[in-house]
Amino acid sequence: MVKKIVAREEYCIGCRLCEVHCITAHSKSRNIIKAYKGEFPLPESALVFEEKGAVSFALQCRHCQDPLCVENCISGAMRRDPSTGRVPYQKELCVGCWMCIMVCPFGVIKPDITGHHIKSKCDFCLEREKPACVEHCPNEALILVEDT
Amino acid sequence: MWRTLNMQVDYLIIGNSVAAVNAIEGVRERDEKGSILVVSEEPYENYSRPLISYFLGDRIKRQALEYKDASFYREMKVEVVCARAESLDCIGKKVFLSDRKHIGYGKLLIATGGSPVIPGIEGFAKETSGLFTFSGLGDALALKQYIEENAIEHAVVLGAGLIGLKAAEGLLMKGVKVTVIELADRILPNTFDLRGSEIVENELIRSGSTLIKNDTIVSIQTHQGSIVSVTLKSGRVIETGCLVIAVGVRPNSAIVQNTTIVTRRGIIVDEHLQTTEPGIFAAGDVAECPDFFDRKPSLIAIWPVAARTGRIAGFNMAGVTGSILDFSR
Repeated sequence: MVKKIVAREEYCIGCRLCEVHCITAHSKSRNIIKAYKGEFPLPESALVFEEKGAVSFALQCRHCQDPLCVENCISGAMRRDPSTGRVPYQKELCVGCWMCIMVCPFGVIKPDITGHHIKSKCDFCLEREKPACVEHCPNEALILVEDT
Repeated sequence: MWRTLNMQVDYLIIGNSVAAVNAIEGVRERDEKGSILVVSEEPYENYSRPLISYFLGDRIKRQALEYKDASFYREMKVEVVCARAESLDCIGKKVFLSDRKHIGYGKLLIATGGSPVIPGIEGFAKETSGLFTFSGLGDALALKQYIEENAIEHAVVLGAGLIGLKAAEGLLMKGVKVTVIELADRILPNTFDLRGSEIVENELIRSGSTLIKNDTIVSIQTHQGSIVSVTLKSGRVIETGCLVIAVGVRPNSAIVQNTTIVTRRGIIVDEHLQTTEPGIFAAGDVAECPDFFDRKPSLIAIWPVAARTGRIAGFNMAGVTGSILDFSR
């Protein structure tokens, strides 16, 4: 069963640990201290953090069933893998046209303004049991649910 | 691959670019069994047209132009035949190919795209070497070969629309200096507001290119069959060994001539991408479909529109009602 990450803003306190652990999980060492103290540049977090007053939540790629980024990708760098239900990004195929960024209704793909590709997009931490942001959220403000 | 001619298929698709590919996926999402045949004039299986500028500029290799896996057509159970669809019999439900063979269909999709418009220029002849358009892989291959063989250092691009500027971008990546000539008072006039045009103009000039606005080419001078210079309306003469013409595209709607299908600039379709003839659909750069905002027929020849119209045409061909105006995904 395909699972998706759901944000519960009623439990989010805006600590942004999801971003810290997303960065760590995508760093070279995958160690929080080594990554933050010794790696430069650090990867960009794949989450978009929204905050206004007491309301906050973190959002990442929805891995849509019918993704606009895939429909509009001119190079095949964005594809939906039907076996996992995920939308992986293949940097080596990307030419940096940024159509995916323009069409994503959630604004969760971040551009790289120096290189011709995109800087970060959630890969659902496929090699982990649970995505790092979900695993490390202290309040269960990010949870995994069965996609219906 | 292509066994019997004069055959009958459930779904016939004319054209093999993004609208067609999305239509195949749309049909297959709803109908796994129906036979699909694609008729395309181009001798390439699957490639992305917007990538040709990157290919010209050596940013990507020939194989990287394919945006679907090589197994796509096999997995989708689609046959592809390289031929030109000449004419259409709406009553007998048949499409006649260039070799006089014909194919009967249950549902038809016309996704033939557009062709570059060649404006009236004195001295223009197809045989002249150094003259190019820039819309398909064939154009890019020819232009690239010409630049490499003749060590072209400077090229003129006529037209500063999306295609003209993509050509200019590819040429610059290739190390060719570019002069862009635009009839309007700014570049990308149909795409951007004044400020947007200004940003791109500044970037173009920063790249070392020359931009000439409010002007156009009136004649071409040749020497021994090759272009040597162009003369502008203002009288200015620009020496060049290469000219790329990108003043616009015209929908390839010739196939529906002498039928009852209504055309304007392109083939008129309703919100379900069906033409005025039931069972015949059109999508992509050849189709003029209702605009999301004012519901009037509009033709915006860009990838996202082609992808979406193709997909929705595919749904409707497979018998599921889908609308281009419906954005509740």
